Amino acid sequence: MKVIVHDLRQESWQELGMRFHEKDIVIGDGLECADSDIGKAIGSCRQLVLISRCVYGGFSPFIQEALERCRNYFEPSLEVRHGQTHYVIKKQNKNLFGLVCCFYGDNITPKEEQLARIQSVSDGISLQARGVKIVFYDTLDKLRQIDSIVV
Amino acid sequence: MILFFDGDRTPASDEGIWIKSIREYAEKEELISVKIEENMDWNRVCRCLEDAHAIVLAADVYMDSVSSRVLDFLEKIEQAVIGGESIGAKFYAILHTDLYEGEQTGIAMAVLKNFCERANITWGRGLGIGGNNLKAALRRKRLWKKSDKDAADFRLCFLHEQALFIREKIQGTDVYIKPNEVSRGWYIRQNNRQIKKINRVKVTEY
Repeated sequence: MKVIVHDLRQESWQELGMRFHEKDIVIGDGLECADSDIGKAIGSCRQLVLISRCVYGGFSPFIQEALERCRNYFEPSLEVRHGQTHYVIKKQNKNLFGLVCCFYGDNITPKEEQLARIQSVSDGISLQARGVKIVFYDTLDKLRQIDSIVV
Repeated sequence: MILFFDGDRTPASDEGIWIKSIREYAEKEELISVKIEENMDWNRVCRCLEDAHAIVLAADVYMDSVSSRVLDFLEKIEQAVIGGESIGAKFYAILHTDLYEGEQTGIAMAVLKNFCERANITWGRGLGIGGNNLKAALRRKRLWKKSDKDAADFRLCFLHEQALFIREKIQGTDVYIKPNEVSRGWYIRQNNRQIKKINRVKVTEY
């Protein structure tokens, strides 16, 4: 099962024509989803796909809000991982999913791209993903290629 | 005039420490504080942005970023600049996290710098604070002795330093700090004990 969080407008999203399995979950702008649902969905998925406009070398406000709502995915307590402090991940959520970060935008500077890569890896470590794949597309048309990346 | 933006997600236990430290060192300057929230008086914000000599953003960092609300706000400012708004002020940031290492605010700091480049605003200086929950951890452990009080205030001298940069409107190298007075292991243990205690109280209340 995969979870896709995207900030695309409904028509752009539909134009992508992504393949889905029955149990896949899509969280997009305008779709109501409780905080606990996002945490639970990420905790039980095989792949988490974030499709985001690249904003100053990071995620867009909508995707960032979704990540903020993942608080339920973590314990409030701390531990050391990879030499840095991180929030402990709840036992039931340790299923090791793959993280795909897909950034789009026609005016992404090399500096912003580099920063977006760093943030993606860092968030992958925080969420304890088993791997992180990062892709950039400058047009919505090219964004269709994401279908070949997701499982 | 110094324009202070409060971008914290939730009011902290020591709310006001950021603006207080600036006020202390820039008494003669007019200081305007604006909370970043959904329904802001955008016309007032634009007027203040035009008149300000220094812009200060204080915000917490979670998942390597400032909050979605702050990101949204920064995009609005960028749009205002594209629309002809002129901002001559330098931009200063005070970012903080409960995680021990101040460097964990580094990605969010870089995002703010990229915003400044896009909005044609001069970067002033960034202060990244780690271990921001130290005060609460110390208080709850009932070790609130004088020496521990000093340890809890590890942020103050760095905040005052930042306030001087803001007052003088000069640029400086970004600084990342952590509570050196206590080890990372100690900080984590105290933080986790405190959380367990809170959880026990919640269960009892329930």
